[in-house]
Amino acid sequence: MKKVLVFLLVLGVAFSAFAGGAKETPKKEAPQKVEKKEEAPAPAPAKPTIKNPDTLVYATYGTIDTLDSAKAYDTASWTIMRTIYDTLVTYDGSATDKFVPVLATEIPTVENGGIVNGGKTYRFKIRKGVKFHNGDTLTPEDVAYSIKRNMVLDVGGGPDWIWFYVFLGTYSSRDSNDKIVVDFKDIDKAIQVDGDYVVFNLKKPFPPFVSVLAGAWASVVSKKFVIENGGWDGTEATWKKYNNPKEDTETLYDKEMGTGPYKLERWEKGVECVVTRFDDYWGPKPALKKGIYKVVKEWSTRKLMLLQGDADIATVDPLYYPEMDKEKGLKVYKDLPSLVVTGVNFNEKIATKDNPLVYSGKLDGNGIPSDFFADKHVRLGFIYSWDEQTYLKDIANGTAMDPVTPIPYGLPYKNKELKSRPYDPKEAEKHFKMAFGGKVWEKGFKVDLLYNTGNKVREASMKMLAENVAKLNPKFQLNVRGVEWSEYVDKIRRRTMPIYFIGWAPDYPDPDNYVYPYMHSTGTFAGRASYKNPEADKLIEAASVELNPEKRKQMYYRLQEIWLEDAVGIISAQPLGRRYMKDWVQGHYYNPMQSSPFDLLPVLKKGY
Amino acid sequence: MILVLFGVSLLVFSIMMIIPPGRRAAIYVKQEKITPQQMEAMIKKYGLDDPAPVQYLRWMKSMLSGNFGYSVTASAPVLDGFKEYFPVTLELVLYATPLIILFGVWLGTIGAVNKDKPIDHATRVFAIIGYSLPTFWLGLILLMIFYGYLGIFPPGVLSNKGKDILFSPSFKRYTYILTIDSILNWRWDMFWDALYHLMLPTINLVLLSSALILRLMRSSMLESLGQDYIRTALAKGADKKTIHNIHARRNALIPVITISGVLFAGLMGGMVITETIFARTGIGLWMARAALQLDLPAIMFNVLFLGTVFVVVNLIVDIVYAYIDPRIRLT
Amino acid sequence: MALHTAEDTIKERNVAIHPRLQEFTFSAKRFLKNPLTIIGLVIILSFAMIALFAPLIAPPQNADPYRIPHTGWKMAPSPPSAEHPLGTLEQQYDIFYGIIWGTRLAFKIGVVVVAVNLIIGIILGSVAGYFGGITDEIIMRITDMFYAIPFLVMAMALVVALGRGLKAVIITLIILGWPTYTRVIRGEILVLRDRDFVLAARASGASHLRIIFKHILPNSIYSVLIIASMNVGTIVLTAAALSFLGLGSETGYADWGQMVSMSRNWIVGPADNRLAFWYVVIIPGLVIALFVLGWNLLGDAARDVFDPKMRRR
Repeated sequence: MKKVLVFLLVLGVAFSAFAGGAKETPKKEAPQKVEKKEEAPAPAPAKPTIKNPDTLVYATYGTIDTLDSAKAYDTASWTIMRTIYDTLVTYDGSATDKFVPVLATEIPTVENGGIVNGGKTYRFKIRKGVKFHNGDTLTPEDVAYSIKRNMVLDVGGGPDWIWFYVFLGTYSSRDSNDKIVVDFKDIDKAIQVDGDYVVFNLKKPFPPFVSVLAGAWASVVSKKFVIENGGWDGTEATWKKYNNPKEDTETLYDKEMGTGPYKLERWEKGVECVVTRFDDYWGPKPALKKGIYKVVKEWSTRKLMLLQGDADIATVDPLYYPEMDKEKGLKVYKDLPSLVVTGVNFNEKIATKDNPLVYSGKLDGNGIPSDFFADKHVRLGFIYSWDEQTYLKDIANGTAMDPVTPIPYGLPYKNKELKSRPYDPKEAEKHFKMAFGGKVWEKGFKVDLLYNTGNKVREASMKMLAENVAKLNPKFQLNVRGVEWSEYVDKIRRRTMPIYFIGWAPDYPDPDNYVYPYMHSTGTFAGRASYKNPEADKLIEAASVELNPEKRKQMYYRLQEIWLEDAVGIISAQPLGRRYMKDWVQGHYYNPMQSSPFDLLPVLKKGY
Repeated sequence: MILVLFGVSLLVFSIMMIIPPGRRAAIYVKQEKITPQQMEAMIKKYGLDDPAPVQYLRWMKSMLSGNFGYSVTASAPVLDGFKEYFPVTLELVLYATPLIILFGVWLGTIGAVNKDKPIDHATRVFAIIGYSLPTFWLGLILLMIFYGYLGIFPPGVLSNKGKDILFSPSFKRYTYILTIDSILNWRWDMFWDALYHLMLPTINLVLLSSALILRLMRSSMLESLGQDYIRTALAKGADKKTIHNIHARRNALIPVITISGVLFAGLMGGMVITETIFARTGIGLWMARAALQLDLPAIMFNVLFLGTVFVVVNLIVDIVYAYIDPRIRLT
Repeated sequence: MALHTAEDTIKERNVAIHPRLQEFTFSAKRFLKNPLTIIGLVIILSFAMIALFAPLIAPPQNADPYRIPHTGWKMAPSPPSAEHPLGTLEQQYDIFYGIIWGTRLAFKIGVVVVAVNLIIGIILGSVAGYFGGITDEIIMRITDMFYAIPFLVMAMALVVALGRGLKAVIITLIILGWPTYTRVIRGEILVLRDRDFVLAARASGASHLRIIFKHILPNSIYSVLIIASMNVGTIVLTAAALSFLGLGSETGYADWGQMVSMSRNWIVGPADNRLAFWYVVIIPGLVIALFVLGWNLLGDAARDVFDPKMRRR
């Protein structure tokens, strides 16, 4: 019994000490915006000792899916691949439109003879003397094989569509019935080795092609190693056998043979991934010996790890920015413009069969019809009910901008003059009164709106939109519900969702990668929502192959106007991210195409 | 026993089959950048729209041939995931169960012997409060006090140094249970490290679960104190302590043994929350993720595995029970 | 405790109360003598009052009273103020309102689930225990199956399958909860089945139904009732655990589990005051713990008093 009392006592004391002790700490003002590693020099003795001085620990929530470049299509997998593989080229510091060569010796341009054939052929000279982690030397054949292998595998739901898009003008090696429809000779012709060069033959001119080669999906692997481990042998005879492998049968799923500055030491699935320095790296030698990517899903746990210094960098959601700003010993990089664009768009052809979300499926005051959102007045009614200012201030916590159109700030051809429609209940009412010849206003409607659970920003956004619309007319009944990811995805597939959330992170930093999904009738988002505007389709296709910047600009400007004219959807935010790390982490810089700060492992240092 | 397990597999599989194929395909979808056409291809690839009996037989066939399929939530084949996660859970259960039982038995005895005295009330309230708190709430508070404020007992299973030892080539993994392997390898530094990381989750479990044992112990102790022979002995002036400790307690322990088996099996499957909070990636956490994302191969395997554990543990309990309770042995 | 003497018995006989009622008053008296019981009773009764008078204490502002009103869209919780006496949760949901209406919901979830479980358990348990043979075998094997399924995992999968939300949680808990009661009832009935008074009733030609309901159940139901009373609290805890795992009711719903799981991210406050969000962490957690505590104290005390093996000493 005594022990129990003692225990309770300890608990109590600890708790009060925690409260008291915390209060004693001097209030420190929120750190000023840290400009690249500059921090006010504090008196020396205050600095705590650096934990794990030669190791970088990054705590975050994303689990790594695979390490094979043919399948990985998420930032968690990519960020590991960034440290163990090299690509031909990479982004130059913070720029998204300038590149530096990595495994190539220079960036091809028309002037240096690297881009020929009217922008359809790219020639890369491959660097000599580069060693793989097993000591083998890199050859141009390895580079060509790496890309070809990605096309051969073409894992469903993976990133390999990009290669079919640029080389063959299609999206996959298979049709929707899972049958192979591509000829291997076309793949073979697209990527060829010519002496010290690797030559890429594009279907059509594609100005952003170099940026495609900077993606983690273009990681260069050792051909010999892949074949030794039972992978595709590089011949036409066997390629179909390797197409669309089931999970974990992709050769490089948990092993690697790259040329990158770090080697894979171990990957404890769902726990952590550790990489160690590769001492024969051809480029500059990294300062840190080791990098650990730790999966810590619980925010409170992750926060404590960062505060205790057991993690050097931790992922912080915008919700917690204010409290983190009060912490000592941390460094924060603020207002980092991402290239993510989020918003909602309207399903203009809702599948009403077996769809409880639209209730009666008719415009009788107790449901909505399939073509509810095909009426532009309904869309405008919703758009004028969207309160962007409250969204930016309260929901996004001041950490987002309004990009107005699908093309984000920071990309070329962004029309910064355009303004989004304001929150205006009167205007919204006017449009709802005009919709369906007045029937919407007279009868009202009933609909369920969904978000995928776990995403608090989406949840609050959808609720705000629904409440603002419902305020206009008591006959407007909108229920907002959260559903599991599985249900959400299934509803996307069946096109039963009346309003979609859309959020796009770029595959390559070019307007083409935004207008296509958002506005082309076969694009990911527009296709789902049955949005079709022939003018937009034509412009998108023409702009993607246009080499003249001035003409391209005109086309993209026009597309952005169409977005507003057609009232396709609501673009709500382009997030401004933050990165919190221990103040002993040095050398950080931001590039919106980074998968995570762990990408920077080769250039980071620890010290004061 | 086999029949029960077969029934379990059939039951769980049928429940999963009620879910439309599109939802079951979602596990293979990483992000929203997917078109309806790609989804259809995915369903075809995994045969998710085949009739349910066909899918069940396919699963059964591959399972009987030793292939349990691939678990997306573990990013690994089911067996590999299991090999990685199970020892983590087992280790915690192995430490927590005896402590829970000892703690519960001790408090329960105190309560029974001092029935209706303040100390009886105090122990019961203490235990019931532990029992009444939401697991994650207590866990997070413990984490805040010990790790957040005092800076001790970090989350995870090992420190980075410990992990380096674990994965160094000279380290042999016999059982995959860290504390045991570290002793077998004579790495006491790692042993203490692993133990250090076990402290908080163990405390959490003990505080939460000992009420169960306490309550049972108290009532069965009261019952056995009420037995005629004990009352007679006490009336005759026999030493109270001896009587309590030796005679009454021994009898009272019998039902506790029964419940301990249930406790053990229950802890194996009920670790979800403790593991989430203390960042210990064991099967609890894995199964939670699998259930949320409808990772069918992982769910099926783990449900069957835990079912087997449950059945086997109960069998053992029955045998032990028969061994210590002569009345049952006779029948 | 005074021994029950022969004299007492005679006195009681003379008063000629129905023996069962007499049992009950005897037990009830003992029941009320225990201070813990009183505490438990007070807790549960206060909660019951809150649940009953919820519309008066916190007048609903939405068509669905269980939806917590909120002002504004700020994501971080706000401390107690005149407008929000207990502060707000994430997205500015009023904690006070949530606690009040959550009481009603907690009773609803707890009582509905336990009652349905109890009914299923009693029916299956008595049928299995009373008739025995193949019926018993089938029912008990099915019960075994449910026992062998890991509870939380199955609960999660079921809620996901049924499509999330409070309704799914209730259905799931009903589907998975009945085997305990079935087992206990069956065990009790097996003991009673061959007792003299049952045999006598059978000999006098009473129907099976009458025997079960009139003679067997009243003598065996105490133990399940005690389990049930304790389970009311446990059910609410389980629902909270499901909420923590992301499978409870909608956010903004007056559900304690939902509210308490919202506290998870605010346990460690900012540097200038680590307990800055105490109201989010402490209040819903405390309320839920009190509720469960109340039911447990009641159940515990009831076991001491009503369990024939424990009584009269």
